[in-house]
Amino acid sequence: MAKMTRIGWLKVGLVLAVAVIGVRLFQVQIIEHGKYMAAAESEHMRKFELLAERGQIYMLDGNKVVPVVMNERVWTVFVDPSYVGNESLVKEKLDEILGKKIFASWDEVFKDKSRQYYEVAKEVTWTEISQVEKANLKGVGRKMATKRVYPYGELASQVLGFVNANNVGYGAEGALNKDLAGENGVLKTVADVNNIPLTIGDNNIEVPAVNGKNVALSIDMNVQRTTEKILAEAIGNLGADYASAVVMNPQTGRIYAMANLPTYNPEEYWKVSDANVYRNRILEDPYEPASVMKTFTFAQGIELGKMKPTDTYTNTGTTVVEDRTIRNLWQESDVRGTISFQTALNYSLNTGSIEVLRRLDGGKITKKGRELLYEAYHDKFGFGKKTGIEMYESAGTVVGPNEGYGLNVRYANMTFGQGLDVTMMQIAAAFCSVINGGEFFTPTVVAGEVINGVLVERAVKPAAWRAITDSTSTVMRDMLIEARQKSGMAWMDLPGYVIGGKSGTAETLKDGKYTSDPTIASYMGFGGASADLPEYVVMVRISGEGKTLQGGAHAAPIFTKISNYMLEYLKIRPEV
Amino acid sequence: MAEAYFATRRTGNIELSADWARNRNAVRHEPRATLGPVSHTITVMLLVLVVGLIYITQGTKATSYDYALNSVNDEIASLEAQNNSLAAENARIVAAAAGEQNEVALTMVDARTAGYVAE
Repeated sequence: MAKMTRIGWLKVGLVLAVAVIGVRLFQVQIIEHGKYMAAAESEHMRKFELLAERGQIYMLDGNKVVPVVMNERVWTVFVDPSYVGNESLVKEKLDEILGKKIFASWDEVFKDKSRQYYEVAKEVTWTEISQVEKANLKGVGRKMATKRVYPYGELASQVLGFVNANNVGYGAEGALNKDLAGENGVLKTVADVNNIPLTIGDNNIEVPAVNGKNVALSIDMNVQRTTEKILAEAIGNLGADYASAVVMNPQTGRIYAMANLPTYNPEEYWKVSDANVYRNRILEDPYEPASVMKTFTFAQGIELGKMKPTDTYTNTGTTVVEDRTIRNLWQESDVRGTISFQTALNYSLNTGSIEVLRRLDGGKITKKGRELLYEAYHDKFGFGKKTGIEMYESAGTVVGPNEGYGLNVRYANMTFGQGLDVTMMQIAAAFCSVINGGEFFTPTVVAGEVINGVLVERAVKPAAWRAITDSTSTVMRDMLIEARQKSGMAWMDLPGYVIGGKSGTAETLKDGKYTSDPTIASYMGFGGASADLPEYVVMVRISGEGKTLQGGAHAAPIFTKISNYMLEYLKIRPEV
Repeated sequence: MAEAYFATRRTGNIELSADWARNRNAVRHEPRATLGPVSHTITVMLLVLVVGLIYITQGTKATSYDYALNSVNDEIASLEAQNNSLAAENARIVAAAAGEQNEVALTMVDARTAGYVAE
């Protein structure tokens, strides 16, 4: 075998070297292509989140829309002590411009120069940050954020709600979050060292942000403000702890006002000491409503043809159901003996509503009678299930006609509003169906969307179902009008209008026993120019620890004030 | 007669006699200078340089537009912030005034306390 020459070895070496390089190139460029591409991209590609603007919330001001929850840009000002040139100038200028917003101690800020980020002020406004920029202070930076602004302060606070630091929303802010939030976009692009996006490169991606919708509530700020004012006066005059009122349109289910006092300012929600003020009691606070429920018991009796307002029964002031004796609150002799059901409603006699339950099935409280009452409460009037309003709400509790024990006593109590838990919203919505011709409308707080400052109204939803017939509704309206007139409240109404209503005074449960300390006073009613066309429904509730407040004496005047206001505000012309 | 080379548009280089040259549109071609390999290399490099310069100037131009765009975006953001701030301030002022100017509220009928008959 011939001996390899030096040039031969050199050739072999070169071939091997080229082969090694070739293999390595193949590994890097083909096999590990993805890895190196990703490494290269991460060097020069940046991903930016394009933040969607949260939608504003509007209320109605008559026919106009007014923003009641807005967005405002605010800035956090920070200092990099290691970069600050003139410390005294920075202190002096920032103190001068931001004043009390400076929450950091300057000694602390400049003590540790190695710390490169020290927040010194928050919620700095545009005017202030512009001045900071003009001062051109070395080592002072800013960071932008968006803040929700509630220009009307406490107005309708439980309806509007807020979003807390953990992104948990209350009120409309939480319930309508899907519409309000919008959707963030994304920008993936080549950027320079200062993170300025550049259009060079062919892998840039931009998905634009979709801003949230501007939602217009059906709440009319004038009605809301007046209702809150009236409730505040009542709480002051009566020494009550809280009061609520809901005003709605019985022909559409739209809410004009939803007021709960005491209230709070959503812009400073963290200053509240009692978190109960966040709750919208009208929607979230089921209670035993007492005599206002007689309206629905009587409606079912009339609907099923089991009684008429002029039909009579014998009232002895008490009635016995199994082992219990149930008493009327009104024990005067003028309503003893044979009286009509209309009189029973006028004087809110428990014996009358229990008699209706008996007549549902041949004069006795039976399983069938209970089932018919449950059918009315649950299926026709929607008690024990959510109304379907766009807000957070409680379903309440209506015990089924065959659930548990002592059902005859329970159902006898339920006829006058004890032994069940319902919300004010449920009562008001059901009451609308009793007096509007019999149709149940899902209550709503949303009027539509505001686009470029103009309200695009949402179509009025048709009735969800028919609760009672038109003829029953007519009879019930007349009964409620007479109940108001005969119970000494009509003289407070503006002349020329038709106003009807029903009061309720609920005892509360303490240690398993009913007590009048405190009571919950309620009144619900309607008004308009004629009995055929009720224009509004108002429901009021007021209570206070240690107070025995009465529906007729204390809640009814609140109703009257709101009712009189509505007659004028809606410019309803009297028919007289 | 001395022989000469001619380039014609029809036939290229042909050997001609004086007789054949008559009435023919021919030019005499005598190359005086030729490019050597160094000149060729420099020419190619210059061409590559020009193309590179064109690429760089266009790329830089696009990037400079990006900076201008970024600056405009910053300005828009600043104006939006100003607009938001002013809108919020305006709303606060309107809100403060609105509560006091409600004519219906001012002329509202007072409901007096009434005794109740029954609950």
